[in-house]
Amino acid sequence: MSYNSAILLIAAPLLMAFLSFILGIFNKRIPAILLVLTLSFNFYFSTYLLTLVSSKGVLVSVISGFEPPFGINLVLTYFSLLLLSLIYLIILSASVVFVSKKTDENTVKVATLLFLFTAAASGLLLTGDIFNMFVFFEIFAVANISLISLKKNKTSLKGSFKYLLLSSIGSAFLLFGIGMIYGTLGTLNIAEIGLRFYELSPLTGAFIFIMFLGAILSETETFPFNFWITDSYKGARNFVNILLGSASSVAALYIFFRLFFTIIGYPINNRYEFLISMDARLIIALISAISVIVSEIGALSSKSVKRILAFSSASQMGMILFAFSISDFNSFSAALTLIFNLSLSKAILFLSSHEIMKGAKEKNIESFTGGLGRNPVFSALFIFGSLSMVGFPLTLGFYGKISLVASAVSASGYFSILVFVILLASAAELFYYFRLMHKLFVSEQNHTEKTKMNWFYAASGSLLLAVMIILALMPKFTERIVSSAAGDMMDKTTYIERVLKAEDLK
Amino acid sequence: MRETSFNTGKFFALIIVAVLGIFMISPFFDTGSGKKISPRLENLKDRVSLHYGLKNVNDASKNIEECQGDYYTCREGVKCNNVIYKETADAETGPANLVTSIVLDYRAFDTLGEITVLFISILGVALLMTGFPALPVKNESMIQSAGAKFLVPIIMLVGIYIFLHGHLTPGGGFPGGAVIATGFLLMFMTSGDYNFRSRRFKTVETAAGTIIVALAIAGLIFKDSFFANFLPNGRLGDLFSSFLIVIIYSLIGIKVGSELSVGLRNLYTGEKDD
Repeated sequence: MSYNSAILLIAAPLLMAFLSFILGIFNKRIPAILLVLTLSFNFYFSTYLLTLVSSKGVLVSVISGFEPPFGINLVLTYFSLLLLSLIYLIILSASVVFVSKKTDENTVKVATLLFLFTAAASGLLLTGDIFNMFVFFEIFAVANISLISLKKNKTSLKGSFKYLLLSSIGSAFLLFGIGMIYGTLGTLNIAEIGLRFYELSPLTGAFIFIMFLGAILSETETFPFNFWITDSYKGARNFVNILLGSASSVAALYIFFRLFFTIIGYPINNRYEFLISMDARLIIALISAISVIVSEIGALSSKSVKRILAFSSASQMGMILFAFSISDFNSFSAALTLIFNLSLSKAILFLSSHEIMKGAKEKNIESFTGGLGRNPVFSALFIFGSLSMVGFPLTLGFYGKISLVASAVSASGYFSILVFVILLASAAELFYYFRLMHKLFVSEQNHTEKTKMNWFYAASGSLLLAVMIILALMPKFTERIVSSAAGDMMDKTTYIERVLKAEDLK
Repeated sequence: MRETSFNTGKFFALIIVAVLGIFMISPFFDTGSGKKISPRLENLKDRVSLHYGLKNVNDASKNIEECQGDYYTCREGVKCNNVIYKETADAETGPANLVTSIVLDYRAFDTLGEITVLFISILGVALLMTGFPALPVKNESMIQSAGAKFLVPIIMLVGIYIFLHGHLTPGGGFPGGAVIATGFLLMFMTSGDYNFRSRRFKTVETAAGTIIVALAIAGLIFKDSFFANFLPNGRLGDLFSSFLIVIIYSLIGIKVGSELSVGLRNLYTGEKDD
């Protein structure tokens, strides 16, 4: 039996993107409804494939009928499908928010953009070909740029232009790296590159490493390249914030893993080392630690709520990258738990803060005052999201952070020092999240008017909350899926053997 | 910064760029061990593109599957196909133009992605330009507008030729579509009152996109693989050969042509749904 129909995860949203324009002529609601339907289908299909993969191991899906490494192929791994289901869940909740808006002249176009965003995210996570990954990287970046600029005020255009600059420079770097790989190794298949990366001369390897680093750091919101987040998050619409903060970050982290671990790294004694002459893990760890510290300082000094959430997202991304740089089984499980925590709770935070601040003139910390009286449901959502974000016990963030600390301390050398610094910096999170929560309870007036309940927001928020509570209250279940995914990440040999259909590579 | 003859910022920027440049060029002259970019192309046998040229990818992958030894010796032991112009029939890929056979057969999925990149870029331009006023149009001379009306049909014909003949000669959907869009641009530049309804063009464009994806899914249904070639390939080098590729290239040509025309129209007259 072949698994070639997995391509439908990419093809269905792509087909709908083209079709929605024609259908949108008749009624502007149709594309929006199709969007929710397509995402539900994709979510269902990806979880079905996830169960298939968990019993059968890595599966390969062939495109154009040419077997890898000659043609383009999709690789279905537990890790990629798990993250893909998470991304679909988030895009689904964002599109529920989008559907609730009144239709205007841009509705059909925005629905098309969201379809293409879905297709690009699926392509990025499923593809087994590095040039194909670059193509989807481009679609993904352009979708993000257009989505950020939707509001068309000064901040959003500024943010969108900054993102445009950084992501286009980044994709040029990625293309340089890919070109160097194709020039030397003569292949574009990720598995075959991973198999043969050691054949490169040291300087070429270092060159490719630096090009990849330049490509991905702006997407993962790492410090020197994260100046775009301030305006992009602040100027974007609410559902775009959810997509940027949760779905895009997860996709970026996945690309980071594929580029640096599947291609350049090699697993030895339950730990990844790098196939280049310099200590790549130290470089990544240092960059991510600096990124955590700077982002926390940025969040502390911001007044705008969206900016605070954006900086907090950047610091969480730094923490996940740090967990990646430790690069053993436990730290990968910690990173996966943190990814779940980041994407789910950040989506909840953006959603609920938008509803709490509704009607306020300036959307800063002061507009949170008396939120509990005005909007009890979303205030509760916000409190739950921030508790999980700071790592309060019995939440996902707690499990993630504690296993990160455990794995960093057991790793030798500089990691235990760096994790101490990171923990100190992330204590700042406690301050600014509790400040916001405190504002919710404070009220100057005795009588407050309740804001009108938006049921679409409530539905999408409670969907995310339900998933988060299930994951937090069933640690055994969470640990099982996380450790299968981490085992999948550690097992590079199976990935290569299954793709190249070669049994005895070692 | 103070205005001086010696600009410190520029100086350091230049030094950084120079170091980066040396670093970027150095892999070409690296004397250490291991693979580097070399003009002699000594590693031709390792390259997947070797089999694209010989049109024996299916043989190679079958050989790897059956052969029991080391992966690379298996891949090198593939027998050569003799591909002869105007003689070989029903090869695994039809086009006589090697680039087309890679772009639309071996790596067709990338091309679908590139179409989508163009589509989403034009969509972004349309979203950004909505509500901007039209540019004032200058009066044009009679010679310009009359000359353009002679030229435009010829330009269109060249564009159509380029994408219809893409499987035999250099060219294809993207350059053909770009040439067609140039015709519309010429009309915009020379005839001030020229305009078309962008909705029709967008309908054509998205319909072409839908048909391309539908044809790819048809491959999944008939041949169990997305973008698989389910129509006959014919004799190499004939005008009527590799039918699926001709159809898809024509659709790409139509799509790119209408897409770029709408994009240029948006830049000229502002986006307005009429």
